[in-house]
Amino acid sequence: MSIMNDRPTTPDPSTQAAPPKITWSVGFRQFVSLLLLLHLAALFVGPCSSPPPSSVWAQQAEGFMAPYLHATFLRGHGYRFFAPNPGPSHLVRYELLDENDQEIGEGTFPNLDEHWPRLLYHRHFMISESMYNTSNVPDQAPPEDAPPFVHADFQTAIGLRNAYLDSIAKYIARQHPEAAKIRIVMVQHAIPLPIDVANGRPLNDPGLYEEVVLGVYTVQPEDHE
Amino acid sequence: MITAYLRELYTGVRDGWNRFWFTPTDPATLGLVRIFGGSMILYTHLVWSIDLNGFMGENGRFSNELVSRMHQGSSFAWSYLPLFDGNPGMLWLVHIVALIVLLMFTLGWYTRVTSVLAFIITVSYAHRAPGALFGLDQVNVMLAMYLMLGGAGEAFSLDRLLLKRRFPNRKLPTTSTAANVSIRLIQLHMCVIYLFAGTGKLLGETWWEGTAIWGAVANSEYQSLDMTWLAHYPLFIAVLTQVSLAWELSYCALVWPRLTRPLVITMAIPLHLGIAVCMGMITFGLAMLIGNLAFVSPWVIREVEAGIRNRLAKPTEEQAAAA
Repeated sequence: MSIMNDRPTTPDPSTQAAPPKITWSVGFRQFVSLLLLLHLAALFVGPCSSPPPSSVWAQQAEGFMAPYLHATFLRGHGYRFFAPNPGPSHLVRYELLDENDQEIGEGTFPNLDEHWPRLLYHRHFMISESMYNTSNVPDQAPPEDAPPFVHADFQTAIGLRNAYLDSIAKYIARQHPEAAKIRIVMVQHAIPLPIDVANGRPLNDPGLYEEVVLGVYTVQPEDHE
Repeated sequence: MITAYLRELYTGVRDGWNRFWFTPTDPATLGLVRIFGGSMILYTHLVWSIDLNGFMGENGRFSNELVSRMHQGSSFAWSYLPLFDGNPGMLWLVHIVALIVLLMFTLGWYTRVTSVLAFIITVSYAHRAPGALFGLDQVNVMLAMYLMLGGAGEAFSLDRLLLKRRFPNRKLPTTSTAANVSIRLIQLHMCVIYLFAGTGKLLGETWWEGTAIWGAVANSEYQSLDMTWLAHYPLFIAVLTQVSLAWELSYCALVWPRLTRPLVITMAIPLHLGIAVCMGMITFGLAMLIGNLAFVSPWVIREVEAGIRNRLAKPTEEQAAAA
């Protein structure tokens, strides 16, 4: 195997510069090699185990390596950018309501008019996308005879969804002390077919938007503290 | 015969492993990755400043309970920010210190210390705001993690400059084993990223149909450049889709041979700049290009450096001659 960081030279080996000698001791190299092997295994376990589908071995290996994956921020990264398919995008619209449920204001995130530079816009975009992912939980609990882990997973997903909604709603409540309630609406923006766009359909055609109310949060006195 | 084969296999793997990981290399590539990667990490954290308490504060978007649930209650998803996030003033103070450390790291000043601190800072922010992250943060942490292993301050750094000024007659080392380990890890991590990015797409029918690129460019929440004219050219969309998929899938194999490496790295430029310009993900596109920089051999960087030095030196010589 050639040393790829060397400058390519003529094919005559006699004219090639000798590569720098290995300077680390055998014992130190063995120690570093062991660490490298563990890290390389973690590099593969992370994306192999998430997101679904993933195999039993990958899930069990992830459970074993979870502390390391967490500590090095390697857990849960599938690197599946725009995979399996580029899908619709999601925005969050929030409505500020008074005591009589009358709308007194609203806002949306992400919002290109408010969020600049683009990286800040993207941060807000990722919040709306991750809220969509966590809110995408079936309405009905699994059947009673389902395995215990299915029930546990369902409860975890419900808990996460509710915690996310609460956290975001409380934050909005602090920003808008005039509101008595906050209604959170998930807006899904579908992507039109190329043929429709070629025939003049705009990307922001109202027919491409679909709204689902995620919940209504009643503002608590401590939210204004 | 089998014993001889196994012995040859063992010695071949052992020697190849040693050469791959432990041959000292010129730290020029790693030094450049530090400058660009450090700049990206610094910029990322500067942008957090716009709404620091909204993203990182106790009363921000991510309550501590939510963050704990998102990390599945793991205490290994560590961050030092919860120690300060209840006090906006303290959070700002800690944030300003972090920005100073990241600037020092980018410049290569006290790199041994600031590189480790840069990793701690980058992971802490990522773990504190888990709902606002995307690929950029994964690449940022990856670069910070490998840049702290050593060697990052041994080229193109204030550390090196100050050392040369202080000890002008001392012969400083020109190669570093730690730099090689760091560069190899970045290279392998990039291969893992592209491998899973490519294989993940094989699960989707739009990548097989050749329409996936349309789904990306016609997403108006991402769009920063109107590419909807592509709707009139379905064949072009299909070619773009499947060429980019083939590139991602083959990256981990074709980036290693000397003959194909320049082609693979050159193709990364339009692909990631396309993502940056058309889809508004400038930071992510540039971060991926910084990761690809790890595959540029140090001698290329030294030749470019020498060219720049010559160009800068010429006017000075001409001025001296004129004087």
